[in-house]
Amino acid sequence: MRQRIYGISFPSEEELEAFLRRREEIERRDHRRLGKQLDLFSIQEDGGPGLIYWHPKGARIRTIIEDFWRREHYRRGYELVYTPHIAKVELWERSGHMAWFRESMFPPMEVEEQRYLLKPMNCPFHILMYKSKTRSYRDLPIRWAELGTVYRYERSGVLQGMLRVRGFTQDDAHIFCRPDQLEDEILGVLDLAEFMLTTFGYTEYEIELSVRDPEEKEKYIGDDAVWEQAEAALIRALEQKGWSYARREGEAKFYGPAIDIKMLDALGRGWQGPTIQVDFNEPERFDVTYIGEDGEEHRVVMIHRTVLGSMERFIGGLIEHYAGAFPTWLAPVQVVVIPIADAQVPYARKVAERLLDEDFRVEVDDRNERVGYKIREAEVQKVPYMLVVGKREVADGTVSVRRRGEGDVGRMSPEEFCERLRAEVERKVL
Amino acid sequence: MSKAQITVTFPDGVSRSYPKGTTVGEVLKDWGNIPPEDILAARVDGRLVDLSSVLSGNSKVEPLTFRDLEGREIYWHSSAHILAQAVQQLFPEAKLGIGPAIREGFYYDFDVPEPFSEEDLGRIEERMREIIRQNLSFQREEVPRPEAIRIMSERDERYKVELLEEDIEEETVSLYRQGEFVDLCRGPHVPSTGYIKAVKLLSVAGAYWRGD
Repeated sequence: MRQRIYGISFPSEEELEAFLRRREEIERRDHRRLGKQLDLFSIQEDGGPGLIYWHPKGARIRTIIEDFWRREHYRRGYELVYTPHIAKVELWERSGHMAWFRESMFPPMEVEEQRYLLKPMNCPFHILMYKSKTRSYRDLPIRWAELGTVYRYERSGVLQGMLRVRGFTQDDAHIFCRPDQLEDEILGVLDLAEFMLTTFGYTEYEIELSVRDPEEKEKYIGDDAVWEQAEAALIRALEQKGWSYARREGEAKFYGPAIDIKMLDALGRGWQGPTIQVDFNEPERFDVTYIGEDGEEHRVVMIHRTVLGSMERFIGGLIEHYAGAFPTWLAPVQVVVIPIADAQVPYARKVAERLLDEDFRVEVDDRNERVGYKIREAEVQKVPYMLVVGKREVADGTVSVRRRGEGDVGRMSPEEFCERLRAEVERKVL
Repeated sequence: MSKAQITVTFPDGVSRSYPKGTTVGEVLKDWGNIPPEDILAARVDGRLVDLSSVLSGNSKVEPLTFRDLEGREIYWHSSAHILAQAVQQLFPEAKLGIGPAIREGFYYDFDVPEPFSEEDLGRIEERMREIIRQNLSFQREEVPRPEAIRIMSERDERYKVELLEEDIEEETVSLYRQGEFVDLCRGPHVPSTGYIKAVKLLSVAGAYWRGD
């Protein structure tokens, strides 16, 4: 019988203890464990590995994030689109995916003697829409965003919770622009990325700029001048942000330079976040153009970008970052109203309705259990606020407010509490 | 400068000359920029070596400590050897698989009649501390491959014999000994078991070896 023993060692007891504490903390924050404890998501072996089922509370969080994402994109001049989930094999041949991405795609299905593939990316769809009419230089930039669900084959052995999956929803966008607009567009994406990540409490990043290997230019498509211009635009955008970055020569994909941003979580661990990829390949393969000021056709510059990456990986990461204790604006249940005895259940319901009217997410714990038990339960479920109502509260029309992890905050009127909650949610307090 | 002198260059750019045959450990101690007890092994002209290795020509010598990635790997690899020694002292029928350093820590694979229990792990850990207290030195030995096969056959280390017969092509291989324990290993290692200060066994799992 084969047995593998794992161990760790350090030059001092202090370092060993610090390591063990951190290990425990990582275990405590594990999104798979918390996902179950908080009833956020599951993976159903009967449905297949690597596919995420979003339970109501997980779906709540996702909805809030998607609403925030949509609003922010509209504000910054993006249009939102929807595209199909499958397309003919020929489309993927034209895009080049059949040649270089085949191994990550699910096998084709056949309908009426035509083979179709599940999409592993959204880009060819956005290109087809772009090409549905003639575009002028005055129409650019065009920024199309889609919460696009894609499927990619991964070996079952490498699947891991929400972090490595076979189906996921990218917060994808494609920007079609003129070469002279590239720098401003990249800067716009960096601004958006910083704003969104900061809102979620990620304030430290590790940034990589992937460029060509200057010794092996023949490995890349697109001519020299185009590459140089694009790399320079990415660098100037990063410099304008004042962000330091690591330059990775030879790390660029064959079709264009890219910026990858890792965000550091509460434990200092890096998570793959925004990626910005310039693409010289697909515009060439699909002959994507615009009519310039000179009346001639010009090749468009295409940027693929995500900010959060995918809903699955991003929210999996958030669960670990917050250790399951989501800030009030994201918490699936923001408030639990806890009546002390059955007599206060009607009052508790009235308070809950008042909160529901203002779109807060509220539950009444009217089970026949002791108050202490209900409070503990709400703490385990990491609900930000508990409103305890007994005889006294009913008599003077108040609620006793408890804050998660802090305890008693004091008695106040439901109106006063609503005021407090509204301010906290609107400011997206962490 | 006499013919028997060599020039050693250190990471701070300082160069000094030493008699040919001086060990890496001695020159780093003489350089003196890092407390000798922190130096685990060294990089000599880009190659990782034991502190006991002898300098035979002009060289660039860099110390490796626990702060360096390679230093940590060496530290954890030596810890894996101590784990294997402890297991074989307590479970003489345990046969060795492989025991590398990993991203955080190390593991060692064993072939045993019974799975290890939580209690076994505690005993093994205690025995590792005992071996560390004995401060046994890690001794490198280079032997012809047939000699290594003979030594491993005598110890009935079937997996090591298989490695030597089927995977290793070099005519000379290195063995590392500490006390009665011997392992087939490229090294390098820390000078002695006492360099390992704090150790903890984290878990045990079923393992699949090549060919299973």
